[in-house]
Amino acid sequence: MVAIEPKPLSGASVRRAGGESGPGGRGPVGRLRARFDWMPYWLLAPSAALIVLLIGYPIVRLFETSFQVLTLDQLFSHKTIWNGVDNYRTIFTSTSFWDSVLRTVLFTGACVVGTMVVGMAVALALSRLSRLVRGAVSVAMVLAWAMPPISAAIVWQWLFANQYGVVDWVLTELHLGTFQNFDWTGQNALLAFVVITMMIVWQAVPFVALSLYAGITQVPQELYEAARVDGAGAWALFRRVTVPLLTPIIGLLVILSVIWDFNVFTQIWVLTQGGPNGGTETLGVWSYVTAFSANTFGVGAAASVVSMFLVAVMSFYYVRVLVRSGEVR
Amino acid sequence: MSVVSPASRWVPTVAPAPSAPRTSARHETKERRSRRALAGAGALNVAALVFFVVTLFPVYWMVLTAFKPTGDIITPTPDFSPLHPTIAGFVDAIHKPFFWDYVSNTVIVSVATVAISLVVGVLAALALSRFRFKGRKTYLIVLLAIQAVPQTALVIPLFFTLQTLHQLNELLGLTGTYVIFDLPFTVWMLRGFVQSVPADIEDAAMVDGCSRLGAFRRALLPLIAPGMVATSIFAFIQAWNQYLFADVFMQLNTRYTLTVWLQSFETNRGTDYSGLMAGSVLYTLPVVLLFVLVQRKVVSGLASGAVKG
Repeated sequence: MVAIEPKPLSGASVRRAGGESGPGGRGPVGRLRARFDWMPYWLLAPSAALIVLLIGYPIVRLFETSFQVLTLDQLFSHKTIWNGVDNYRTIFTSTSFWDSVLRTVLFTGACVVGTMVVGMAVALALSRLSRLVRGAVSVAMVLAWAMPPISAAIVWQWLFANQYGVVDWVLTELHLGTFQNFDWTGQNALLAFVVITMMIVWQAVPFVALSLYAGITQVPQELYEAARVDGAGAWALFRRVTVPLLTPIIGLLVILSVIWDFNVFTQIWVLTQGGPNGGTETLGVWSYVTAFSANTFGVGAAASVVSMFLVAVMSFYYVRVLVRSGEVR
Repeated sequence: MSVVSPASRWVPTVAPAPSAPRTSARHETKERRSRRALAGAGALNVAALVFFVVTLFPVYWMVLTAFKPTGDIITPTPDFSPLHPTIAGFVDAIHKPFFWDYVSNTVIVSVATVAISLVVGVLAALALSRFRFKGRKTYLIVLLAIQAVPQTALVIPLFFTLQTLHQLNELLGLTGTYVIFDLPFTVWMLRGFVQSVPADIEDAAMVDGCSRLGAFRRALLPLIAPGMVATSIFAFIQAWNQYLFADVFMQLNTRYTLTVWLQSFETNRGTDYSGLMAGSVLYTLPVVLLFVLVQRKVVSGLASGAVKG
C-alpha cells in the first residue's frame, strides 16, 4: 500500500523554504547549521539500516538465487550450484510464463479501467446526490474499503459458491438462465477472472471515488457556470472542465491502481489458487507456485526478478508524477 | 494529494449564437429541461441505490451468515433476513484449536511492527522534513519505490534469509518482514504531519534554551501526537491484514496468524461457513472499527493541533 498523505493544516505555514525565510534568515536552527550537519544522517540511520537489512539484502539474495539451481536437494545439502542464465532461459522459453505475463497485463488493465470508470461515475454522482443518499453511499464504500483483503476474498468465495451460493440463486431468480450449482471459479479461467476482477473493483472503487469526489468539490463553480453560459452540455462540462482539472489526480490514481492491481495475490490465491489448470496464474502467482509448490526456487526467483523489473518501470512513472506535482519536496 | 488546477488549461468554447425566436420557446425549453432534470435525478437515485446495495451486500452477507444457525446457511433459497440470530458460529470459531494463540500471534506481530516503524519512522520523518541535505530526495524516492515492490517477489529471498537466521515460525522474524512495508508508509505519512507544523515552534523552543533534540521532543512531538496515533492505526491495519508472508513463514500450526487460520476452515467435508464467517467477522471487526476511528482522528487531530499551534 502506498501512503495517503495527510493534508497540511494550511498551505502557507507549512513550507519552510522559500517565501520570506530565505536561506539566510532561518532563525536559530538555520544559523546553527554553519558547519556540515550530521544530524539528519543520524536521524535517518536507523531506518536506513532496517531498509538495507530487510529489503536491500533480500533483493540481492533474490538476484543471486535467480542464477542458481535451487531445489529441495540443494536446500537440504546446502550446496550452491550456479547455473548462469539458465533460469532466465527456462522462463523465457516457457509458454506458461508468457501466458501469465499476458494474463497479468490483461487482468491489471481490466481492473484499472473498471475501477477508474466506476470510480469516476460514482464521484460524479456523489456531487449530485442529496446529503442523505451521499452519506449512505459513502458509509457503504468505507465499509467495503475497510474489509481486509482476506475477508473480502473469503466472503466473495461464499457469494459465488457453487453450492448454495447466493449469486447463483439471484441470477436464477432473475431468469437469466439456470445457475444452480454453477461453478464460477473452477471450470473456466475467464469466468474466474471476471469474479476476481469484480471483487478487486468493488474494493478499489471507494478510494478512487472518494479521492475524485474530493477533487471535484475543489473545482471552482464559476468555471462550470462560465462554460454553461457558453452553451456547454453535461458531456462537454465533464470533458472540458472536470477532466482537465482533475488530470493530475487521475494520473496518480491510475498509476497507483496499476501498481496495486499488478501486485494482487491474496484475492487470486484464496479464490482460485491460480486454477483452473493455471488459468488464473498471474505473474506473481506463477512465480510463487514455481518456487513453493514445484520447489524450483531458482526459476521462481528469475520470474520474480522480471516482475520486480516491471514494477520498477511502473514506479518510475509514479515517482515522476509525484515529483512533478510537488509531493516529493 | 491535491488537485493542482491551472485554470489557464481550460479554454472556453465559442458560444453558439442563439438563432431560435426567444420569447415562448425559451419558456418551453426551461420546462422541458426541468422535467428532464427530475427524471435524471430519479434515475440517479435508482443507480445510487443499486450501487449502495452491491457495495454493502458482501459485508452484510458476511455478518448475516455469521449470525445464522448452521441449518439456515445451506438452503436452496437463501434467507436474507436476520430473523433467528445466534452466536453459535462465534462460539464455534473461538473454540477452534489454538484460536487464542492466533489472536495473540497476530496482535503481538502487528503491535511490534507498529512500534518499530513508529520509533524509527519519527526520526526519519524529522530528518526528511526539517533538514535539507544531500540524498534527501533519493531517500524519499526509495521509500516510494519500496512500497511498490511485489510481496510475491520478496517472499522467496525472505524465506531463505529467515531460514538462515533460524527465524522461520518465529514472531520476531515475521515482524521483520512486516516492517518492510509498514516503515516506508509510516515515514511518508509522519513526514506529512511534521511538515504541517511550522518550524518556528522549535525555533522558539530553542531560543528558550532547548537543545535541538529537546526542541523536537518538547515542542514538536506533542503537536504531531494525533498524527502519530492515526499513522499507527493505519500501520496496524496494514500489518493485521498481511497474509502471504504469514502463510509462507509460519508453518507450525500454533504459529499461524488469524489470516492463515481463516484459510484453514475448508475441510474435506466442505466449508464450515458458519464458523468461517463468524471468524471473518471477529477478524474484520477491529480493523473496520479502527478504520472508521482513524478517519475521525485525522480530522479532529488536525483541527485541535491547529488551535494549539
